[in-house]
Amino acid sequence: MSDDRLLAALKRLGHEELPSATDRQIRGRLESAWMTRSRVASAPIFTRRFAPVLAALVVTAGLGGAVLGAGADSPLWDSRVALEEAAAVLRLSTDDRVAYLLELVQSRTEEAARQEAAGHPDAAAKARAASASAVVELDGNLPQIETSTPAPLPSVSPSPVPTPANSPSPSPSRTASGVPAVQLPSSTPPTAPRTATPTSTPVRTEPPSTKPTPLPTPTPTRAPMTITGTVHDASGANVTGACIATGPTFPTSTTSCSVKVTNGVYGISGTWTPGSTITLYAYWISPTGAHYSASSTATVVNPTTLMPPMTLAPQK
Amino acid sequence: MSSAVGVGSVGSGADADAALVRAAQGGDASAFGDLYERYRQPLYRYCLARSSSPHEAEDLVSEVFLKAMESLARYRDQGLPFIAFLYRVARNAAIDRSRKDKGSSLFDMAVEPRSSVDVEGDAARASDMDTVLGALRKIKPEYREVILLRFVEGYSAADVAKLLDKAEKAIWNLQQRGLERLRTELKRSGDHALAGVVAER
Repeated sequence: MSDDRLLAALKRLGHEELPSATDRQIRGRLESAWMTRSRVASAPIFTRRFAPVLAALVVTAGLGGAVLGAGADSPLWDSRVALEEAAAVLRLSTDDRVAYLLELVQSRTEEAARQEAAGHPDAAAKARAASASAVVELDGNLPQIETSTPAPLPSVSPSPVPTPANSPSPSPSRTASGVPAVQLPSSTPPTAPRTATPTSTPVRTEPPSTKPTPLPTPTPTRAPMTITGTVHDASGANVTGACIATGPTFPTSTTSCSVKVTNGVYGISGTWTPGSTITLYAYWISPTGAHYSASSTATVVNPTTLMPPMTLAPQK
Repeated sequence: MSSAVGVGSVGSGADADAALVRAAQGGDASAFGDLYERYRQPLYRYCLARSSSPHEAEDLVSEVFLKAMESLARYRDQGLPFIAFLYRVARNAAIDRSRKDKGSSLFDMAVEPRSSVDVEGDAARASDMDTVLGALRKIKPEYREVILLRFVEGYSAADVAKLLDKAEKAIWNLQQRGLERLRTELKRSGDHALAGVVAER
């Protein structure tokens, strides 16, 4: 009996196994350490099913600083993209996931611009592709904004964006690309039909030297797109809970706000016409009840429009 | 003695390990992954016997593989399985930990009953394993290693000699003295039945 008991105890120890959860964590640590160590995108140590665990560990533990800081012109860029996208999977709440994906879209869009400015078109293209990939991930997570813009309206542009030098018309004009700018309808009913009237004249005042010849009107196509941006308070801190709207009227209740800012970031998916101009408004009520607002205008580009940052100011 | 848990003999594993290590040194991540797959379980058991808790053993396994990865470039094949290197790393890491965390906790391993039919028997067996682990933890590391490799991992004395870079005769001596120390510890723990077995071997 005694002999059996000791042998059984020793044999039983011989069958003890590393808990599977710990096993996965260790794999993740090893894989991230390997990537950090080798500084190259290498073959995965383990199967792809551990990628989310790895990503979480890398992101939360900060082990992959070098990878996550890689630019699109770096050989580590693909690793960074893989890690970031895997990390998104781990976000348990939709809000967190959306906020994280929006950050990805934003950072990748900015990276594309940075690479473009630096004269690295290939790297810029990679960054844009990664941004588009994040947009795809966003699909289904973002709040949808109903864009009831009627069929494309050619040559209606109340946009304050200056027109190119070769078309200095003070009247609503086409852009250089010939794509008509169409403003997103506000959430409040328009007071007047949108027509090419002089009242929507842009700020440019110099007289036209030549009258542009009207070009054939192309047919713009509305497409599903994502619009993202940031909202800060006056101190530059990220704002959470601000309402994003398409109209200049403070929302009457929280229920009327379909898009909210999380950790200073917001995102909207909907269908817009590339080249159209959109103005978004941010509204926020402070804990003391003070009303703040801000707005931002940009030209819609496919697939992701990065709005200029909004800084909240007390509403008068 | 054949392997009880699949570690295999030293000779058969060394060549395969050498190839994997060379590949890993050359940047093949999956080769290092294979080494992990191959040795994570025996290393865990080794760490379990050196740690104050399963949780600590798990941390130790992670630390050992990370250190092994860091040391990969300096690793030189000496005709031994990679596990010999891992045991050495684990030994040093455990010593470092025990210095930092002297006398921190009691062994608190909880073993779930594995059968719903014989709950009392399972509990007794779990208790036996706890007792043996507790005793193993108290004996000298060199004794513990030999007992673990011989009776838990199932290596032959000759293989243990290679793994620990000692003469086979030294392994037999360590085994004998280790078992005596284990008996003493088991007696101290009050389990004279288990201690009696040790005296008989």
